[in-house]
Amino acid sequence: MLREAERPPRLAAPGRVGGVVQIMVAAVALVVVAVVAMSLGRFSVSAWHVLQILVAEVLPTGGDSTDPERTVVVLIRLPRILLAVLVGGGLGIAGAALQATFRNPLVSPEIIGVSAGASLGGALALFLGLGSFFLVGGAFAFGLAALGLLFVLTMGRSGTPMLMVVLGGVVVGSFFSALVGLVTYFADPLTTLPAIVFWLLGSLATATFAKVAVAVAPILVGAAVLLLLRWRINVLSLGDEEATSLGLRPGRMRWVILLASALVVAGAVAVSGVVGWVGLVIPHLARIWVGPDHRVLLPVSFLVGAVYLVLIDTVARTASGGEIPLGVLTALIGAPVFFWLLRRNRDRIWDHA
Amino acid sequence: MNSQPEALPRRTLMKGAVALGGITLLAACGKSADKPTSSAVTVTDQRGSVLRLDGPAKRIVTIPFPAAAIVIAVDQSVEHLVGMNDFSWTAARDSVLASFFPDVLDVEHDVASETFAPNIESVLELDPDVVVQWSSQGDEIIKPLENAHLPVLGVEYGTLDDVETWLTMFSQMLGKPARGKAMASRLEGDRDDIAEVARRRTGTKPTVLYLLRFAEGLTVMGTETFNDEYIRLVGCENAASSVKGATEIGLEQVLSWDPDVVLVGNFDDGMPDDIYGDPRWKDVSAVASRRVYKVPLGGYRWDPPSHESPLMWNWLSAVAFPGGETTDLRAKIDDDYQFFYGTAPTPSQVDSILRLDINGSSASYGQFRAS
Amino acid sequence: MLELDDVGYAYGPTGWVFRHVSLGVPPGSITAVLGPNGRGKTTLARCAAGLLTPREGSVRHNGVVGFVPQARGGAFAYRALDMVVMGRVRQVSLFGTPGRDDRTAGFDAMARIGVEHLAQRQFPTLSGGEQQLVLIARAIASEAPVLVLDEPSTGLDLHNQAQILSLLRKIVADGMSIMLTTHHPDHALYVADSVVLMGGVDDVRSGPANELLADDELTRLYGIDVQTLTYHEDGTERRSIITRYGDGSDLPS
Repeated sequence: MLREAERPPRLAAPGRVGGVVQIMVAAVALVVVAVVAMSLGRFSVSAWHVLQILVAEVLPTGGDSTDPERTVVVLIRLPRILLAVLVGGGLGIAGAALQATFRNPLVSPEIIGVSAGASLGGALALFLGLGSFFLVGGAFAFGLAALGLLFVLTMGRSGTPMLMVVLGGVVVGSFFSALVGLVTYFADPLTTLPAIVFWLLGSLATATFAKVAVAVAPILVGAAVLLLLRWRINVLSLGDEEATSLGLRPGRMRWVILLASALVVAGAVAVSGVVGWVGLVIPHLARIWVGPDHRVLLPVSFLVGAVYLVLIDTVARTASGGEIPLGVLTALIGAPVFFWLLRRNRDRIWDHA
Repeated sequence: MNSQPEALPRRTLMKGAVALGGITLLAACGKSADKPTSSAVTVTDQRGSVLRLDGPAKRIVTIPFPAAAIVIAVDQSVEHLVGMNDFSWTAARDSVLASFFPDVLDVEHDVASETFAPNIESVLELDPDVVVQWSSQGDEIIKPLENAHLPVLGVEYGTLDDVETWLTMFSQMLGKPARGKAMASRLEGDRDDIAEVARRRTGTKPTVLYLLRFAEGLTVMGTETFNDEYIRLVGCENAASSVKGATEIGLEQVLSWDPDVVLVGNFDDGMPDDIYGDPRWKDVSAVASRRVYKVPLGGYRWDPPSHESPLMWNWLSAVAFPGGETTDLRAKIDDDYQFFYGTAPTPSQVDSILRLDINGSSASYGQFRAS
Repeated sequence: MLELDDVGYAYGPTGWVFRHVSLGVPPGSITAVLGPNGRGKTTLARCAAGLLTPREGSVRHNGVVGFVPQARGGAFAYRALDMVVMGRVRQVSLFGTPGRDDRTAGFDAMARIGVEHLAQRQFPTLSGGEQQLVLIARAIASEAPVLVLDEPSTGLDLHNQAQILSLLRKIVADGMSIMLTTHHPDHALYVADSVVLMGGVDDVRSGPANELLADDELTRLYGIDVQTLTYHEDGTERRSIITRYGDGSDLPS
């Protein structure tokens, strides 16, 4: 029963190298998908011209692409795809971190009301005519406010029971969404309806490099913090008591993670409105592929989320003459996928209720 | 049948009054100017419902955007308009209508939401004789009014024929049926003239893209819209003909359609300079040839259907076919406004109607300058 | 080394669980905490581990205290080795991930316990006993000189119980201080050097195992008839329990 210890085997254990490989695979997939998306659209540009144009941005090569083609690829599609990467990736990694922190597989930025809070902050900032710093700052502050409200509603001694989190989140989210409707109602009547649709259904139709600049800092900073803490998030996910006994300070760490997630969500919502079902479903899909170790799961959730949203946005802008709001598509796809996930894990989910 | 002897005489009286009213109405039809009669008025709206009013409407509330200005034009006064949509009010405020009828600014304008849902209490407070409301947008915006026992005149959005019908209904409602007839026949005459000119033209038809919204996402008007109808009426093609109705599109779609002329609508703050200054638009034909124009704002916005639509058609003709056969638009505006509002505008008012300051730097706009 | 000095714990202003508990667990010794349900065994263990702050008195130790909870499965399916390496929180930098040294320490801890063959298995798929052993390995990997175990043999079959107990005797020989709570006086008799008997708020007695684990003490503690018998193993005198569970004659008819 008790044996002599053997020499430690190659402890770059299969999972460890495997994790790095998986991250690389996801990254390559993202690049491929992004380049393919660049060559799709209502204005036809051949894939070869797309490559020429992209290369010409970096190196002074020539090519026979036309001016309108360059405009389409560089000024219209590129910022849109960059935003899709940032928003999809941000929501993916934030969703994964939140699910670990709440130790609850039903958690996502929308379900817990943070997205709705952030959209209120953004809508208020625009209503008051404040600049982009306040746009993201306002989204961040109100996203945190929504989170704080949720804590007050649900925090018990034994962690956060799933049913309470979902119910509390629905309440908080609906409350802030209603306020968004109110703000846009009082706003300039010339722009009210489209603004409401933007905030509540999400869209990348108005993507510009300016918006990319707005989103890049909060999303990458927040994601970086989460990535730096990725191993400690494993420990946190064991539960407060175990984490404390191992030497972590769960309360403090939880706040850092929530702040970082709120920052990511604020940046995303500020430029794209509320895009639901990404932060909920992507971590689950990623977990099915790479397992629950957050050292791999967090980066993969970012990459898979980015791929997913680039694909969805490509459909949104090419499927018909008109622009389909992102939130409609992510719900159409996300809801059935999540239903399938629920059925797969029926027993484990109910265990936590 | 004769159990209530009092009822019979009353009913006869009612019939007699209606008959009298009807005869008076018929008699008054032949005259070019008629005074409103004091007898009951009957109007059939576009749902086919028959409205019976005790007399010509004295207190009218309008919810569809163009209706307010049309009522004012038919009535040649603001006196009988007691409530209008906020969108109609902002148009009035920003246009010559406020100079012609300063009292229009005092009219209550908080009666409905942007989606035409009426605020029943605000409407009731105004004690209207008639409420004009869209009947082509679903029952939910009409039912609350009828449940509050308010007479509703249902109007439909869509075609040039609808404009004529509105003129007829409004004039009946106001007890001025001859006025309505005159306006309608004028409209018809103008339409026939424009169609005739279009027929005589040869050559390729320029493509026109109308932007309902530009500042917050691009919305265009595809087929089965009023904009589509008049674009084709003046002899052009609708660049957005592959989509139906009002549709939000992406910028790439615009580049793909590559319109020859772009019209920026009056429903948001977008301006031609915004388009000229945006590097993503530079390859669009309309931008390269500087043919981007903000739609004029006369007594009402020229984008949607109204009594001023012929002016829109003439303006669009002149802009789409510069150097071609056109009427003197400034003279027509003077003439038409005298007819509609009883006043001719000053030259600087015509300049602002045609937005010379905004459109001045676009191609062939010099033709609209005062000589 | 672990020392409790006049420690008392209460929920709220008046909900005393226990008071005036003093005990010491020197390196290389095992202390077992016994008592009926609800008398505060787990609370005492948590105070000793630093998870709860006592209302009175103080807790001293010469390093980190490794707390080993009851194995409960867990929400996420980490691999066993990863679970063990999570014990290295104090050794890994704030923004870092475990390195080769940490993984080696983890594997060594598992090997010392004899479960290194479970390293790549998913933790929730292990048996209760295996999970408990992995959690002990985690505490060892954290280089804690003191271990506090909360009912480590609950729910385990005899074989697994034996694994745990013999493991404790092995690692305590390396100089650790071990405190465990248990429902089994038998286990205490087998491994403990000292015991703590928790009979009530003011009825907490601690002392050498062979003194306190006497028939009358245990009978008084549990309220049923407990007898010990002595036997010899490898030349050492050992004792075990005979429990008179009763024949139901004292129950109402």
